[in-house]
Amino acid sequence: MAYTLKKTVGFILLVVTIGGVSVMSIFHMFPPLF
Amino acid sequence: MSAAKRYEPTLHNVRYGIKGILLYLLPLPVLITAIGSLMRGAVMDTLVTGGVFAALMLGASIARHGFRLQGEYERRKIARAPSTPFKTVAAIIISLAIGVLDWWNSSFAMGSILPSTLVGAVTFLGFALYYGLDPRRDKATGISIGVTIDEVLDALDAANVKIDAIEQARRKINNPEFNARLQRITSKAREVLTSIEDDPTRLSRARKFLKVYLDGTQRVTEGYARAHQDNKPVALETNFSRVLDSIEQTFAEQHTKLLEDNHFDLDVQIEVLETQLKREGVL
Repeated sequence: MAYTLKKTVGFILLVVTIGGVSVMSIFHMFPPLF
Repeated sequence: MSAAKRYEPTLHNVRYGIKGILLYLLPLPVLITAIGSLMRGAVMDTLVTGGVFAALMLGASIARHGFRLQGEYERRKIARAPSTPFKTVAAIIISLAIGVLDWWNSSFAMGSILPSTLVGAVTFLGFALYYGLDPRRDKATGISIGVTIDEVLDALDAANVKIDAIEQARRKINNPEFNARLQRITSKAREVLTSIEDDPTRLSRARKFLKVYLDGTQRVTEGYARAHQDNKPVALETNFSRVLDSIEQTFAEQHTKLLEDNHFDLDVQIEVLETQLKREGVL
């Protein structure tokens, strides 16, 4: 249970940080489009 | 810890699947940004995003190496903790890269340093939670009185280095029959090491056996591989074939005896093999 929770939280944090910041970089590059 | 050469387990094919693939996929938008920056002719932006993307890919590769080492560590019943904390290094590289990218997203505004640092720290936390950090402690199970973990690990490391040397020499031998036999011999040797990992008390009995067998096999194989490259005397072929026969046969028996905990037979057979190797001019 604790293991699954740890994995899930870790996964969400990775997706939000790496994925989120990466996608935001496109938004930063093309601001007029968004 | 002794001065024995540290065995690098990466030489073996430990399957670790697609673990860490996420670290390659998630940063892909940064590549798009970098290409976009390049097409716009924004040099600074291209350098930053391109650099961040490269750092993220490097981090992912280092992490994969760390996963492989950990896989080997977990597979072995007794093992040393990885000498370099690859996963931690990867987590730091990735966190720094994401922190820098987040700061770039805020146009390097001074007020964004703290939030970007926080984003980097959260990335590290996410990595630590999802992938975990490196094992820091040597692993030992079933170590009984009389054998220390260092003794067992040193002996196993030394044996692994010898097996690797035999395999390296084997690759230089073109004869498919000898090649296949040497492959069987090395895989048997690894089985013996596994049986020692299973029960380290076997080490004291297997020590001499490993030494005589592996040293002899290494010398004879390397010698043959060397001679084979120059010319191919028929007598050498026959001798080598005969030595391989006895090594292969004896070693299979040794393994069985080791598992049966049969002290006497083990020693007797070692003597027989030793004599034969001496006769063939190997020892």
